[in-house]
Amino acid sequence: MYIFFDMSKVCRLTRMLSFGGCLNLIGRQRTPLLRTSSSVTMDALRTGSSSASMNVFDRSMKRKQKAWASALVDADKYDYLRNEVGSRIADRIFDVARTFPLALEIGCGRSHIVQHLNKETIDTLFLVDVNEKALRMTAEMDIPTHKVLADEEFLPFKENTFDLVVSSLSLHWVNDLPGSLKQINNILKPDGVFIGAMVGGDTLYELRCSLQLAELEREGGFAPHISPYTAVTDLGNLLGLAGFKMLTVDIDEIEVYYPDMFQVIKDLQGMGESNCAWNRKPMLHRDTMLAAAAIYKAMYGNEDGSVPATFQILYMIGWKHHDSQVKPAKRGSANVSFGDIGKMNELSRNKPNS
Amino acid sequence: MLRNVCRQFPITPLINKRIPVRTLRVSEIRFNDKSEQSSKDSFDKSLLKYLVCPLSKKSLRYEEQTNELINDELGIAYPVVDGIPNLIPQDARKIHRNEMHKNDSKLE
Repeated sequence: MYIFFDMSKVCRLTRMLSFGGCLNLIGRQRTPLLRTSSSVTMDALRTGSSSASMNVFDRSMKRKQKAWASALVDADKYDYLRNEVGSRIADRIFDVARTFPLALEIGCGRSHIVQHLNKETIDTLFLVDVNEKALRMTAEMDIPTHKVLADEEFLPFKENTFDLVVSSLSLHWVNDLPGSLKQINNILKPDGVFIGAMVGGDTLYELRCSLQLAELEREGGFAPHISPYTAVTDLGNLLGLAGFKMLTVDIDEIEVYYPDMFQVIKDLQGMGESNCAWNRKPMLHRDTMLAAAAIYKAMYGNEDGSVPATFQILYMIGWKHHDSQVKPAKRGSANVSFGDIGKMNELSRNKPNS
Repeated sequence: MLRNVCRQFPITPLINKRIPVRTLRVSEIRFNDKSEQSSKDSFDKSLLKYLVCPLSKKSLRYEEQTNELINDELGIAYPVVDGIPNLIPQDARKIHRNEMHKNDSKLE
């Protein structure tokens, strides 16, 4: 108890005395992690596609975590984030005024996207996940469905098969993201569309900062507890490199309020989103956890005692190349000079008067 | 002697009776049996025109006897459980050379 109060006091003090200094400190600590993540993607860009050197996540561990989470009696209690993101993706699918004869959902979990869709949008559907239990618990739909157990990194489908590929909150655990995107591009038919979402950017920065501050203070160093995420700026390049055309990338922030840090961690575990980086630390001292919880509350806590956790969701839409798609005009084909653009505004203003 | 003790601590005999019953604290995590009740469908062969081997990206062959999807070139067999093909490379089984030859002769 002493530690707990002591830490919160220290935190409040630093916050009051030098808030700017405190922020600087956080910035300095976060840079190494961000740097590693961007260097990973940069290496991938240089080598083109699948490189054996890129092995950040323990995929078999992630599979175990997902199996554990979906075996919980109240597993659907932790679905709130996936359901929300799933409905937002479904909204984006409805924006495309088409009926897709054959669609695929990668990393479907308990079919969080497709439960919002109907027969008018999709004729036949393939559900793919690494987790067998979740795949069996998918909701009953009126769309004819085929289930396949497969890894996001090794998609077992023929080239030019699907008209639509969707993926929600599963690609952030993939080791070789450029390779996976390239595979998705391969299995799409020409003029097929990929609509996906993954967490990225500054997701869970509150948890990352408070754990790092607490570990530095208690243990004199810190380990990565939150995995490195893809930056929004890199995502466009990755999609372009994988061969997608007419890209749309946007970012959405979802803030969830929890009673305390321990509930944040418990819910992440329930979602099957526990840390599975190879260089993860196998244990976290109770002392450090209490300190981190106190820092979390002091630095980010709301007035009513709850603490926020931020999830930044990166949405991406990419189309496979087809000749009918909109293309940039030929060089030199313009009949209006760029120099007239400023004048055009004046002309349009003058027009109603004349 | 015992009576004296009992007089001093009147509750002890009662406690002695109850000692064997020791409740274990069960964690709130319980596992559900929904997965057990799943229907045992057979593999839909029409899927073969969409599915390929995740490693070589070549088409697969369905072996009804063993209920497996087989890649003859690499000698790998992927299991089918309750009609759901499991195409995760880690779960695949390597087929022995002899077994492969048997299958080949059957095909011929």
